[in-house]
Amino acid sequence: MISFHWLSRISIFLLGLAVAGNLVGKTDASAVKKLFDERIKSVVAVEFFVETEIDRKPTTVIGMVINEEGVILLLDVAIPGWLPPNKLKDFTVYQAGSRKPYGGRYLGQDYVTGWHYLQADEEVVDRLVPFTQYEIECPELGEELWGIGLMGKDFNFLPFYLHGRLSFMQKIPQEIGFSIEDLGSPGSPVFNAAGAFVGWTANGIPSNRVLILDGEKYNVALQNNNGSGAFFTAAEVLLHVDRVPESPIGQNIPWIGVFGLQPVASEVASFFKLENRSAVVVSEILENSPAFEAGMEKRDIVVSIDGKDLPLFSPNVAVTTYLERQILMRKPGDLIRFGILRNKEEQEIEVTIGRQPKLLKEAEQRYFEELGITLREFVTFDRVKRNLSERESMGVIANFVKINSQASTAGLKPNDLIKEIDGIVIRSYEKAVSLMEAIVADDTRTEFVLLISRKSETSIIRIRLK
Amino acid sequence: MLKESISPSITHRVKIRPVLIGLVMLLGCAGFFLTGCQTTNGSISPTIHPGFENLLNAVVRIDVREMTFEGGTKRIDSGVGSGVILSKDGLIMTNAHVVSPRSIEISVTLANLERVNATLVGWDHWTDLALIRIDMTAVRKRKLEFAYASFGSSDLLRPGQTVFAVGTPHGLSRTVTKGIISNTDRYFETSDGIRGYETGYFNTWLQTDAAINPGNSGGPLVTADGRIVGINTRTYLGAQNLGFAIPSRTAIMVKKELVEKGRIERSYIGIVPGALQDLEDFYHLDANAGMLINSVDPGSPADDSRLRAGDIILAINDEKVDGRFPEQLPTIQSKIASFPVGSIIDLLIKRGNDGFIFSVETELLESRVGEEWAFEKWGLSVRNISKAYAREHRLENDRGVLVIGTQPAYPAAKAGIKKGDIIAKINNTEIDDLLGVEQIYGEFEKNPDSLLFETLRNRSVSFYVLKP
Repeated sequence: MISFHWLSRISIFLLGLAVAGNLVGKTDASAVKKLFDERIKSVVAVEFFVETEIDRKPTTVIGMVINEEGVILLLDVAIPGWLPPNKLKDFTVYQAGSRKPYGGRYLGQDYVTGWHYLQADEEVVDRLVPFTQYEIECPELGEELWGIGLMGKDFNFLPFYLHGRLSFMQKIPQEIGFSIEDLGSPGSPVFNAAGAFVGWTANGIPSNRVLILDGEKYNVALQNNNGSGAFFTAAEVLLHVDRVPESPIGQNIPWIGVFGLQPVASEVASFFKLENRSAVVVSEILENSPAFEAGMEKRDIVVSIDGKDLPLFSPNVAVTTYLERQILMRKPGDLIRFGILRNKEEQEIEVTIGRQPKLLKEAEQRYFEELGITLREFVTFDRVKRNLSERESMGVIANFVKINSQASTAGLKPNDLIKEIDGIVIRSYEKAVSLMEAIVADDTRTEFVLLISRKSETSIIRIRLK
Repeated sequence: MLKESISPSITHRVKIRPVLIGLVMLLGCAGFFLTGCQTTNGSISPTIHPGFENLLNAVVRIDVREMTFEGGTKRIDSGVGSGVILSKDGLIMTNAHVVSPRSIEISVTLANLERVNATLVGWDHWTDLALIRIDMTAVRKRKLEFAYASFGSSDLLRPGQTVFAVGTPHGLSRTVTKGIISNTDRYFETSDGIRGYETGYFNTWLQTDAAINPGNSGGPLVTADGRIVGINTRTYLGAQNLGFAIPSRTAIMVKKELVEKGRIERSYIGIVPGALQDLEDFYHLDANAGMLINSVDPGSPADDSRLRAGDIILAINDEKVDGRFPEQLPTIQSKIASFPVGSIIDLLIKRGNDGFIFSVETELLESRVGEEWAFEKWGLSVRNISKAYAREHRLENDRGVLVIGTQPAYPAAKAGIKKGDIIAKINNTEIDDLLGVEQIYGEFEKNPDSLLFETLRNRSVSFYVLKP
C-alpha cells in the first residue's frame, strides 16, 4: 500500500485537506471532524511478513474492523491466495495514527469472496469500533461520500480524509459502487455525509491514460494502489462478512471440477437461439470429478441453475463469477441442477457437489537447504495447469530453486515437475521427501539424478553434491 | 556504409545466441568511401588459385520476393541473399531462409552482372539448405555464361585452416572475406528456426572468423583452391568474427536428395536425445557407449513402443551408438532420420540393469509449422496444425487451424478472434485443416453472411460471430 516517496505522500495529504475544506464548507468542518475522529477507529493498518526460503518480505495493508471481537477484514488482494498460511508471519495491527504494535492472528481466506480475516489481540479490541456500530445505508447516485486513507508507517499511519460522489453502481456480480475521486485506501470503510456506512473500499480500478514521452504517445492503464474510488456496497459486505473461516486451511469447499468457463456473447447467443439469455461455455471437465460423473461434457453451455436462468450481466464475463459463486455458496453433498445446451438441445444435468481437492496453498512443502530445492506436493491445480491425464498426475514440484545452487547450475528450474529421483518413479510426496532426506544424509554421495518435466518435454538432470 | 543491423561490439557479459544472417532488406544505400585503388592493367595476382577465380564466377546474388501471410493479409517481402552455382545446368545452392516455397520471384545476378530468373527445385529447412535452378532457356537465348564450383570435403578441415566467405553482405555483391576455421564441429543446443521452422537437428556447424554478415546467407565458404566446404548461414549479432556454415558433407547429401526428389523425407520416432557425459556412472555404462533419451514426444512412435525418458539407446539395428557428447547427437539423429519412412528399427535399450529390444516403426518427420494462408476479406491468417505442434502443445489432435494474425478492423478482429486461437468449428462444421476453411470462405465470398466461429484459446472454448 502506501509506499511512495514521502514528498508525494505529503502532497496527497495536503490535497485531500484542501479539497475537503473547499467542498464541505466551514460550517460543516467540525461535524466532519467529529465523524472522522470516531470512524478512524474502524480502520487499522496490518503489517506482516511473507517468509520465503531465503528472505522475508514485509507487507502492509489496510483492514476494517467487522465485529466487537476485533475481527479484521482484508481485501482479496491483500494476501496472494496461493501463499501457504504458514509462510505468513508476525501479523501486527496498528490503529490509525498510532505506531503502537498489537498482535494479530490470521484466520484464513473465505473461498467465496476471497476476503481474508484476522483476529486482533485482545488488548486492542476495546480501542476498535466495528463498522456495524454505525447506521448502514445504500448510497444514492450523486451522493457525497467520504472515506479514510492511511499514510505509511513513518507517518504513524496518519489517517486522512478523502471524498467524492457516487458516479454509478454495477453488479459484476458483486455490487460495486464507483466514484471518480478516491474514497479511501483500499480496505477502508466508506461513509455518507451523515456518517452511515455505505461500503468498503475495493482495490483501485486501472484507468486508461495516454502517456506522452518526447512527443510519442503510449496507451497505458494506470492503477493507484494507495487510493481507490471503487467500493463493495454495504449490502454486498453484509451478505458475506460473516463468513469467517474456521481455519486457514482444510476448509470444506464445494467443487464440481469444471474449468475454462467462458461467457457467451449476446450476438453469439442468437446463433444458439438464446436471445436475451445469459450463458456460459464449459471448456474442460476434470476426469472423475463430480461434473464428469454426472455426465457433463466439454463445450456444454450452461443456461440455468436449479431451473432459474442465469442472469444477464454487463460486462457479460461477470456471469462466470456468478456461476462459480452459485456452486461455492452451496455445500458438498448438495445437488445442483444445470440447464445445459448440447447439440442445440436443452437438457438438465444434476451434479452432486463434491469437495475441493487440496488447494495449492495447502500442499505440503519442504525446503532442503543443503540442496537449495523446495519440494512441493503435486495437487489438482498442477494437473489442470499442465493439462495432464490422471495417469500422468504424479511426481513432485520443484517449488523453489536457489539461484547458483548446484541444482540451479545443473538446469533445474522452479515449477519443474520432478518425475523420478535417482531412477525411482515418484508416486507420492512422502516418497520424494524420504529419497531427498537419504541423499542429504549420505556423506559419500557425490551426485544425484532427476527426471524432470517442463512444458511438453522431459529431461535428465544430474546434480552434483560436492 | 549501410547502417542497418550493424551492432556495436558487446564487451560486457551477455547471453548471446546465433541468428540467421538472413536476407538483407534493401533500404537504400548511403554513399561509401573508396578505400583502395584498382590495378591499372586488370591482371590477377599470381597468388590466387585458378579454382578460386572460377569460384568467384560461380557465386551469385539472389534477390527474392516472397509471399507472407501474417497479419490477416497477403504481403510481399523482398530481400537479398547469396548462392553458389553447382552445375552447368544452372543448379544453385543457397539457404532455406533465403528462398522457400513462398518465394514468388527469384532473380539471380551472375558474376558478370547479368540477371536471370530462377525457380525453386527444393528446400529443406531442417538443414537450412535450398536448391534453385536458373532459367536455362533464358540463359541459352541470351547466351549468358557462368562458372560452377565443386564441393570439397568438410571432413578434412582443421581448425586454423584458411577459408574465404563469398557473398552479398548487406547487398554488397561479390564480397570476399578471409578467415580461418575456428571450429569444425560446433553444436547448438537450441536452434532458432526459420520463422518457426525447425533447423539444425541433423548437423553441426563449421565456425569461422571470416566476416559473415546479413546477406552472406547461402554463399559458399571455400578453401584457397575454391572448393566449397560450407554454406554460410548464421552469425552472432553483437559479436565479432563468429560465423557459422553448414558443412559440405551435409550440403552434398541434401543436394542429391533435392535433385532427385525435390524434398527430403526423414524418419521420425519422437525422441529427444541427451548427451551421456558425466552420467555413465549413474547408468553403470562404459564411456562412449549409448545415447540417453531425454524426452519422448507424447503419441509418437517411440511413445507407442513404450520407450521412456531415461532409457539408454545402446544400438540401432545392431549398430552401436555413441552419444557421449552433445556434438555427437546430430549424427545419431541423422542416422535415425535416414531410415525410409515406415521402417521398423530395432533399438537395443538399457533400462535399469536390463537390456531390451524395442521395435519402433518410423513416421514421416513433420515440421511444427503447417501450411499458411490469409483469408483477406476476413482479415484472418491461419496455419495448419501439424502433428508436431499438437504434440508440443498437448492438443487432443491436429484438427483445426491456428490463427497467426488478424488485421485490425476487419471482420475476424472485430469478432474478437485473436492470434493464437485455434479455430475448431465454423457454423458448427468441424474444421480439419485449411481446406475446410477455404470451402467456407468460398461460400462466404459468393454469399456473405454471419458465421459462428468456435475457437480454443489457452484450452478455453469461445464463440465469435464474424459479420460481413
